[in-house]
Amino acid sequence: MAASRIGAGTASGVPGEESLNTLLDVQDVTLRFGGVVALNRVSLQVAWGNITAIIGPNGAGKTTLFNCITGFYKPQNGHIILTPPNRPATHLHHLLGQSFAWSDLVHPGQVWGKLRAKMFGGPHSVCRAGIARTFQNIRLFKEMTVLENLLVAQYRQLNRYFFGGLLGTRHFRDEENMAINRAMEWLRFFSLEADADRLAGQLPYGHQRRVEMARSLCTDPMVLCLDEPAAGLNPMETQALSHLIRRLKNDFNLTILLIEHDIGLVMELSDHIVVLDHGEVIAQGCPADIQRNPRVVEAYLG
Amino acid sequence: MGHPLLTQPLLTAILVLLLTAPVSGLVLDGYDFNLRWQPPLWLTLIAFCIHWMILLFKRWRLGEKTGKPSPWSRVSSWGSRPSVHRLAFFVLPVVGLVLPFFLGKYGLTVAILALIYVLLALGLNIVVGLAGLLDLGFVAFYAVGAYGYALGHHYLGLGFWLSLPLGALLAACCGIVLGFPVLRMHGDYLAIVTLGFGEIIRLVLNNWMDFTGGPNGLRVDFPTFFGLEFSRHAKEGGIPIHEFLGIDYSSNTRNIFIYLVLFLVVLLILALVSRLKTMPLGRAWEALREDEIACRSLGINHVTVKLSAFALGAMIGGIGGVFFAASQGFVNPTSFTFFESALILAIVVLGGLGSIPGVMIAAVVLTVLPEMLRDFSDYRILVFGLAMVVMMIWRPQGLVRARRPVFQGRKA
Repeated sequence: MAASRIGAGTASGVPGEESLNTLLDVQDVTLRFGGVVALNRVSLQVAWGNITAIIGPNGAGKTTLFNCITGFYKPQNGHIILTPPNRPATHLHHLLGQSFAWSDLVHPGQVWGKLRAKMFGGPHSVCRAGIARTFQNIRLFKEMTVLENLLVAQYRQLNRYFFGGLLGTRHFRDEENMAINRAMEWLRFFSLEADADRLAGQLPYGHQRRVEMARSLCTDPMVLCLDEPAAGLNPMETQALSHLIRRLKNDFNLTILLIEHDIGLVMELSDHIVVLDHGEVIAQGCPADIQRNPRVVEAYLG
Repeated sequence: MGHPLLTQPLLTAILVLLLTAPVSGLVLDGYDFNLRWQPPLWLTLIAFCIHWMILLFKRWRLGEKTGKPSPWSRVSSWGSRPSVHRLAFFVLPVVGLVLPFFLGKYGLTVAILALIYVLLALGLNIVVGLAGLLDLGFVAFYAVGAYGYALGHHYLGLGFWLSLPLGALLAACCGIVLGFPVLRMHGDYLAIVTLGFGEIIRLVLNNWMDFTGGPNGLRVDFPTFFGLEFSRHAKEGGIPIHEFLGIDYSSNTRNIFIYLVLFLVVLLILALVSRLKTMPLGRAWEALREDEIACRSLGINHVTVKLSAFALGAMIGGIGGVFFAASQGFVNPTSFTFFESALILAIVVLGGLGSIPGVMIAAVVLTVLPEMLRDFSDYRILVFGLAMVVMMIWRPQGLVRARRPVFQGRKA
């Protein structure tokens, strides 16, 4: 898995070109809850293989933006487009189900796709397209073991063999063992292998954070969205986390989208920073520019 | 605090005394009742001894193992099953298969009923215990299975063997039909809707006189075995099985046959459910119970996973219904009241949500015990309620806690 990623990374060409290589394109996303405008024409580009941080004061709409990107909310306007290298682009709003229009009468072929997305679409289709996420308040399956948590994340690869599973065929067992190995690899990466058979709910907080990251990585994503991964961690744990995130980027060529309040961590890690305030992008750029930007200093950094 | 080897059984004994004393100690005598003090004391003593022996046995097993006991006692191994389980694995089916030949007519009826409830409990265990969808109208699928057989027989002349898969399929479809509108519901709201669904089915069966016969019910043919009938005199052209085998006619033969078939089906369903639990689909059900939003963020389609839980649970309930109709020879709507739903749910909760051995034990206990306490039937529900309250205080996780699989011991 890791090897294929690294191979794909070297194939993409000159490092200088990478910044032009947009993987996730958020265009003019607007989301209203009744009269409240939570996101107002938010546009940002996430470059392939970069760490992009989204910062801003509480209530600025950071998590709302995450929810839009991962398909939990459906924005009223705008597009979110995922363009993996050498593969066709995916319009995420198509996966969530669009409303029917008169033009469907002209293109009856689209109706079936729309109907399917309406009935069976949702955040899980976004995940399948290659965007994984963690949650601000940890959402582990508390009554299941850590390893089971990671196996659930591989449901899509495993569930293809229903009858094979019922009969316990060799093929099915091989697949299961592969899934277990994959899960153990990620646990080893996060130094959690000792916790594999413990109930997720019994782990200390810092471990739970890492289990959640490992679990989302088991879905084999291209983009990993981390919602405040350092919240509640002590300085040493934060340091270790920063190291892990950097390794995810370098060794596995993951594109990472990060919400974080720990400015030190953000400045250290990110290649690109987007600042949100009151649902609008007030600045974006490299860490040094953001630190000097007077609007950001006024709104957030203080 | 005293020694746990004594205090725990003592607590059990006191509980048993409290629970059984009013039932076994008071004997109705016309409008009066007499006090009898021996039976409850005996029961108490037996309970004490059993618990004590279990503790001793556990201690002995712990001493036997070289490794220290795991601090995470809920996580126990599948790979290295304790020998008790392996023993139960082989002995119980044999006992179950031999049992009907030693039971009387009444005992057989009770045993069949107990097995039907085991089926129902296994079905509801998928919906409530694994997928975490509180279903208060499970009896609807039981009714669909039973009436599927009865109506199919009445209008289309379908036999038992064809009705078994068809009834299961029909119930599974009903499960999906119920599942679709309640996809977005959780907890209390889901419970209310499913409750309504259960009542709708019963009321339709009760009031659609022309089609279902209403409260008068429908007669059902008893099953046959490769065309051999279980009646004293076969219908035109048929051969009764006792003539074929050259044995004396006994009305028990039919019940023994139904019991054996039912027992095999229960074993089959048991194998199915325990496999499902360790399969990706079963894990997805449990994950859905734990956190639906996290599930969706991991690429699990909650619609299909939920519907599959409803469909499979309903299917097993429907099979139970077909057997119920076959064993009674008659169905009417009074067998499918809300009380049945509540009873099945109580079995699942008492047995331990998600625990397969637990719900099976609870199903047998909760169907056989009331039969044994027939003399005291007026107070059955009272004792039942009391048992529920006591259980929820002292063992909220149910009789047998659901186990979690362990992978590390197994070298992948």
